[in-house]
Amino acid sequence: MPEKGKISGRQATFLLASAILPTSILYLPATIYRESAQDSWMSVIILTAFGVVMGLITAALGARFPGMTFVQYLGPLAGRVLGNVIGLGFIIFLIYTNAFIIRSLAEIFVNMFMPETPLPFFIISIAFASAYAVRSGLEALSRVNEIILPLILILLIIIILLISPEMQMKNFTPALEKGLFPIFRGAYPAMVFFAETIIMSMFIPYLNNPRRARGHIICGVLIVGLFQFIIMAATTAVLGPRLARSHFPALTLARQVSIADLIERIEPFIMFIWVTGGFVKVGIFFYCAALATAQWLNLREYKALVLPTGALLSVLSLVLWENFLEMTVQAPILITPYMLLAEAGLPLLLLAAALLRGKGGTGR
Amino acid sequence: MDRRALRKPLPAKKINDTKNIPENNPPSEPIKLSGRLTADLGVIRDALGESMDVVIREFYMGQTRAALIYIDGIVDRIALRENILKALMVDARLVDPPPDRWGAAPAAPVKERVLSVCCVSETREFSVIINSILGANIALLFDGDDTALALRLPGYETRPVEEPHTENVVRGPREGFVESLAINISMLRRKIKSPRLRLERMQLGGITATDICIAHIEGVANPKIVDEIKIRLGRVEIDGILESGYLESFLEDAPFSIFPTVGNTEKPDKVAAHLLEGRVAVFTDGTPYVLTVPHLFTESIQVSEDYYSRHFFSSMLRVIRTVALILTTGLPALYVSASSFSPEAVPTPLLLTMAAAREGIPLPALGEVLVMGLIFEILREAGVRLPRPIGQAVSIVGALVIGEAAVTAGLVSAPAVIVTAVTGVSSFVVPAQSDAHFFIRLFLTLLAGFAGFFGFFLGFAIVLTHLASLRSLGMPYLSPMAPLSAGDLKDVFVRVPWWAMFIRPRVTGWRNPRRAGAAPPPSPPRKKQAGGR
Repeated sequence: MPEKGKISGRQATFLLASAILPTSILYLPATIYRESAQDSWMSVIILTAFGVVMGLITAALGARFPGMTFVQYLGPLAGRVLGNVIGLGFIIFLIYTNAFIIRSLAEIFVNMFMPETPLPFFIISIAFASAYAVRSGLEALSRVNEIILPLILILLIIIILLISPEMQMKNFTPALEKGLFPIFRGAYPAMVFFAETIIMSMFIPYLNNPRRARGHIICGVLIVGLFQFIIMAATTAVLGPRLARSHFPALTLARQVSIADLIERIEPFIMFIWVTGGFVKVGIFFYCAALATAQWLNLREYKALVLPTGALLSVLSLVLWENFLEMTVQAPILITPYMLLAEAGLPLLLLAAALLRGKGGTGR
Repeated sequence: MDRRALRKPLPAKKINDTKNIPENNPPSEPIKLSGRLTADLGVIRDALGESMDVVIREFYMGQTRAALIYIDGIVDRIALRENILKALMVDARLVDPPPDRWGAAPAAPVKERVLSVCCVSETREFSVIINSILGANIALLFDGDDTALALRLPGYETRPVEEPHTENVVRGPREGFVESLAINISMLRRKIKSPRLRLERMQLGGITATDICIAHIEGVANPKIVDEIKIRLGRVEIDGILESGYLESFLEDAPFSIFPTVGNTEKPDKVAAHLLEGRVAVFTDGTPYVLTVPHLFTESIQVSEDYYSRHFFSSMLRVIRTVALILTTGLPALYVSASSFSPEAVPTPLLLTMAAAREGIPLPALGEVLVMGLIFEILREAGVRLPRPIGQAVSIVGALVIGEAAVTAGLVSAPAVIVTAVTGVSSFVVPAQSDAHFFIRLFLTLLAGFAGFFGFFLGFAIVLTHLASLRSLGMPYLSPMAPLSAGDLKDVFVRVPWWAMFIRPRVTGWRNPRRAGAAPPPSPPRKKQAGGR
């Protein structure tokens, strides 16, 4: 057993929220707005529903194989060879996603705040700070998150309250101008984020009460959906059509704040959300990658893998993308289908296989 | 050849060989008294050496030869004279039957009929006799009897009970612990009059043989924690224990952390409150500082007075202490980040003022803050160590040099002085953690100096991770914030009134959660219903 710790249901809910929210509030509003325009808030509702379905699939798989993580039940479910291949694919997915998250956080700082600092500095510091959290174990990671996530949510609410004088309801009209289709088109690239729910399959066995996993996962998805909805609505109301051209809507939002010439440009708030939230998010994916690799290789301990994985992540996030534009504009279009295949298609397929072949318990 | 052998360091095995260390431990085969007084006294003399404070008084009780052995200065001389020596030499004759008819073994009748001393024990072993002599007992040996008596009569100078210097209160008990274990225990007993208060004695330290007392309330404290403390203390192998700090380092879960995971206090009321919450206290003879475990991070913003003052005021103070905690660790980093990296985050008027103040200053903001912080720490240390009248001189010089001259001379900017002053003053608000604060402040300031807000916030996350990974006797250090137990937040950033605090903190008191009945808030007496009475 590479992990001996146990986490509570609330910690699991918070982990799920932190696994999605910190980067999804970065650029999702802009990505969605480019397709769905003033109806973007409806896209978020669709996304949340999709996330709930993903959560149900994840929970159902976890319930059929109690005490096992995703990587561990691949073997009994898909056979030894195929299971190992899928397991490797899942590990690659985790590492790739993590490299993407690290690079995007680093790019934000280089582009928006500190243009003269070299990119590798940010990448390496984020990767190794998170490595420290991963080495401290699942319990420590969950506890850090239990403090950081509420802080992030409170700061988000403060930012939105401060910006509320700038909101204009006319930015939401006309509703459904081009019919329902753009809403789905806007939701499509964002589904990658909400399908990250699948990483909960790595945490279900470590819950105090794994039978309640489904409720905790749904609750986590709903928290993400709620805050995504709030930030989507706020950015739409404040920025309107300008949102489509903005790379980091949340930052643009914070820069607009100006109250009585005293509270202006509350960028440190946003920086706090990104650094600490990013730290936790990277930590969660990092942890999953290290744990999955350890279980895939049948190791007794995952901690020896942490530093090598950190080095791999740093290098990958440096070399996988040429520049920022490739990463945020081009790559999502190209990789979205593959990511969705790994995150949503694979679990669905596995669940179907489990149901058809009658593998695993019924979860009752 | 011989010389070289002497110079050669002892191999590790020999150093660890405990048999080489002279100890008070009884040998495997206990040596018994022979019953012949001259021979027995010889053995005791050999064991105690020719120490000047050892007194051996030989006398006759009737026709029986007897001897008192004690250490001068740690036994009660008046009681020795009146209740023992006089009783044995004079009053014993008045007892019926007289001592001459007591037979060959006078120890038992002496204990039962003559000695007006409370605590008397019989023994036949030399090791026990010698240990009891060293532990402020008076040994009484008789010729012709192989049983000796040990009379417990400690009488030495102790400091009177005073108000502790470290934990001042405006309201609340003012008594503080002293250096005597017995007095300290009695102060605790007076506060908790329950048969469930358990006090277990241990003796640690190969040479000093220091008395340790583990206190807990049966049925409230977690027995696993009590056992764990006993195991950890049982493993201690050290020649001497002079202060509870020695034990602290053996009790810690994370010896390499800068954060303390064992608490200490000088106040009996605080120890009693800790015991009532299910914690365990470790008393050490010779020091007024009592250890309490598990020690949680929250305790650094809790002060005993919070629980005696009205709850609104206490809650406000809790918030102020939290703010001070954040300021003392984060303010220099915030200043460095804002002034060197992200001036756009500062409101324009303030930014202009700051820029004007920094005009012509040779050092960068990071350097300013570090130098000022260093000077502040030096002054603080000087003020603590020096006698009080000179200490005041130091603070005046420090205030003038730092506050006025450095700014006027253009060496540092006024904002940096303000930042350092606020940081320093805030660090005194949360004294329990002040050692750790210095390191965190330095860590965050350096990170902020390298990478602005990015470094500051990343450093914050790292410190938080470290805190979250700590445990104190197995209990999560950040509890009840993380893992969150919502009910226990009643005593973190606020302090709810006592009638609402009817559940013990979950992390320490889960074995017996109910502190009191769930009483309704007090209210004025209800009006009698019409027609009643």
